[in-house]
Amino acid sequence: MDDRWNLLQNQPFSRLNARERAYAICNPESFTELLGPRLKLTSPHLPPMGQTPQFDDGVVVGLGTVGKAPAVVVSQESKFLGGGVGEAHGTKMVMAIRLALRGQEILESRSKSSESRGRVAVVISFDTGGVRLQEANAGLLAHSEVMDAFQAARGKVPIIGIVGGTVGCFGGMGFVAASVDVLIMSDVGRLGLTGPGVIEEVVGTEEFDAANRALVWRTTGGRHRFITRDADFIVEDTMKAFREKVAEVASWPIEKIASKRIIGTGEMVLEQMRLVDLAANDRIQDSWDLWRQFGNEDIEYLWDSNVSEFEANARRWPRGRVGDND
Amino acid sequence: MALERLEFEYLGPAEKGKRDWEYIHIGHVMSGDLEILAEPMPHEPGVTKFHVTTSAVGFGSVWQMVIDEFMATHKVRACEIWINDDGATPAVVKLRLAQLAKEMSREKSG
Repeated sequence: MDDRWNLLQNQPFSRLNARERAYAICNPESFTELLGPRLKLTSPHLPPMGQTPQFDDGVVVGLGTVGKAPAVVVSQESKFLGGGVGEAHGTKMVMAIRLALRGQEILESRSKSSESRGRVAVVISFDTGGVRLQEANAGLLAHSEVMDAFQAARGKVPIIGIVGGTVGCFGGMGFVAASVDVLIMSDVGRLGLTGPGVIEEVVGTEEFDAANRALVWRTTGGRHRFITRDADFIVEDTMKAFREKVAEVASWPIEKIASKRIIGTGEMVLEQMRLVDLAANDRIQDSWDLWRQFGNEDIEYLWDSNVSEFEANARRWPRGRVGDND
Repeated sequence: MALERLEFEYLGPAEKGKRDWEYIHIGHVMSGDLEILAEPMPHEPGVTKFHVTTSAVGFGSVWQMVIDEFMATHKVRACEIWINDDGATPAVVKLRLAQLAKEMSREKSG
């Protein structure tokens, strides 16, 4: 039926562009882009600085269906300015989440039974270094507005984040990715606050060697984030694997989805601080020391095994919250 | 620092036949690359307009040559072509334009 869609499913997620990801994360022939390139909603700040704008300002937003759920999809493009979030890009993100909330309100007002009405989901594919420095104030504001919208969506509309692009998710967007309900990563995906290159530049190569790919991936990569529970799921680097996991999560009851949040209340912050206490001491010199602390013995095996073996055998941070064992 | 904006317009015999594509969008704005957006202009059947925005200032005559060549080899009419360029070489521009031509003909037959 939809040849292009079928072809994309078996492609590595990391190799696809933002528009292909947005299109293929939804059910076949269901995705419609909103505020697409033809609207030429470009950044007003870039031309005076000599930077060519891009017609979609580096983000694709649109509507589709994911499994049985109507979905609002946001997909960042890391090829344009490293996926940096500026004014237009950020506005598109914020309005997309508000649109999902509004859509959910409409669904609820039309149908009394929660089974029959379905529920809107938000899917955000992060591929970004965070704030776009050329328009930092607008970019920062957008970050806080996105997180504000997440809080408004809490317990109403699931926010499902995915990280599997070539840049990963760094800078301010690292905070944003931490505040979603459920985060899905591939082992190629990377998540952090200060990016490896920036750490090296500011503190020096002795502190962090950004050219050491193994070090970068075991510190910021999907496997480590899965073990520390920053990521809820780890999947293979294929479009299909991400799509199936997103559809599965979107079908969960909203209470279960909301229970996966790791920040947003005082208790949750204290819980995360306990993890920081565990990691920030002299005995932990490397992410693998932390893995050992959580009871992982054969680290080499875990590192080299395929994603499903890793997922089955990895021992994660024993946070001790209900539902943490699934 | 500022960007350069270039406009090119071509006149020719009006395009015959119906166009199937709504718009075509290819490429990315990244160092050494460009994005192209093509939109139909049904009210001006014999006209093709190019709007180029580029961060490489002072290469207007090179753009003129590359686009002249493109227009000489491909029958493109009744559309408006927007280019956002971030310092692509003429070779890369030619490749992207060739990609555009391919998309236009594929969409027509498909």
